[in-house]
Amino acid sequence: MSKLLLDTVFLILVALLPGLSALAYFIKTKKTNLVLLLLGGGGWLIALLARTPILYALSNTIERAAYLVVASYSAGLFEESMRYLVLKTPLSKKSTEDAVALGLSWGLTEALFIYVLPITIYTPVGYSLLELLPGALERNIALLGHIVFSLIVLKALSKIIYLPASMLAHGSLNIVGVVTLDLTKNVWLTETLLGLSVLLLFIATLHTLSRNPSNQVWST
Amino acid sequence: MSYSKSALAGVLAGLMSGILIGIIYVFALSQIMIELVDEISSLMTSIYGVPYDLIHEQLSQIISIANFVAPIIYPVQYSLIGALFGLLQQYLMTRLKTSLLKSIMLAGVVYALFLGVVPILTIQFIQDPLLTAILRKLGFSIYVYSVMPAALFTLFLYIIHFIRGPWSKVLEAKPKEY
Repeated sequence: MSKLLLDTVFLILVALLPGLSALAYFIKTKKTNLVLLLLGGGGWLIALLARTPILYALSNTIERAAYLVVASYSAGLFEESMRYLVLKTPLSKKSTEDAVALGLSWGLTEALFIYVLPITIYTPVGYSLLELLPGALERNIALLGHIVFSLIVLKALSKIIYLPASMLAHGSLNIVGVVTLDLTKNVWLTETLLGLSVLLLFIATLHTLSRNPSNQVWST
Repeated sequence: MSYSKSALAGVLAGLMSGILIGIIYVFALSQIMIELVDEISSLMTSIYGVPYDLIHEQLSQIISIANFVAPIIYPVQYSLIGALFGLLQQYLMTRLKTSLLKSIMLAGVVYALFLGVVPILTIQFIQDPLLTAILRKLGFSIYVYSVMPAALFTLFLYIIHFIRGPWSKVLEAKPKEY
């Protein structure tokens, strides 16, 4: 087997294996509705397809800095709105387990389409393992991010104020990545900062939500 | 039919349309893309100053790999989208109190508008040189390609709901956990 193929397989495993393992655990032990997981993947795709034409149109008309801000926050706006709709469907039990499973399927679909697919196509065209590794690690950071956003949106089912909070958190996290990379040009530093931000957000979310278990939605 | 089964019907319709679109891509669209490599390479050289040979070689490689990936990724992509539109069909039928046939048609129209017509109109509005070159090459068929996924999805969703077949077993099975 060539080194190129081994590198690609390694990167795909780094990007997908933690999420797939967690998802397999949820399916096996929590009896998650598989159709809900497909809806999670579909939700991410629709959110992407819905905002892409807008971003294309804006890319030639506004300044780069403004474009990056719009792109970052539009991801929050579209993805969190779709996540809210998916969690609101009768297929969701509106439980913590379902929200986490939805976050996993959302993040894995994103990893498949924006990382696995491109590296399958681009690796033979002159990118090294070290150049592609940060992206694989970022997919795991993003996965944790999607779990956090799903938990916040789950809470939004009973208190709508959590929906804009989730949109804001998602957009702001994107901004952290974009601005850090733009200023430092250091991809490893960017990923470290992103990882720490998501971890902080995760802890803050758990802390906030567990302090306010005001309804059945959160107390599973 | 429950929401879960409707979403599942959407997944199956999406899967079938994805397989067909993958086949159409490999046998029709990929050839057009190969023909476009020369034109896109020239454009990128003139706009961005990228060496012609470099961009030509990279584009050719990308298209050849995309031909392998397309038949796998299209069914996945359209199954996921199908789950949501299958759910939408059931929602429309329940909320608008319409017939199954009308709700399938309505879901198909929303699909076509949202993921076919609006994106293609936006691309035309932007007038990006690269996209314009692709649109010029495809001509009228771009409109056919853009609404084709929605049309195929609607057709397969109709078949799944109205004609008995291997899918009936899946849709009529009792849910394990809901």
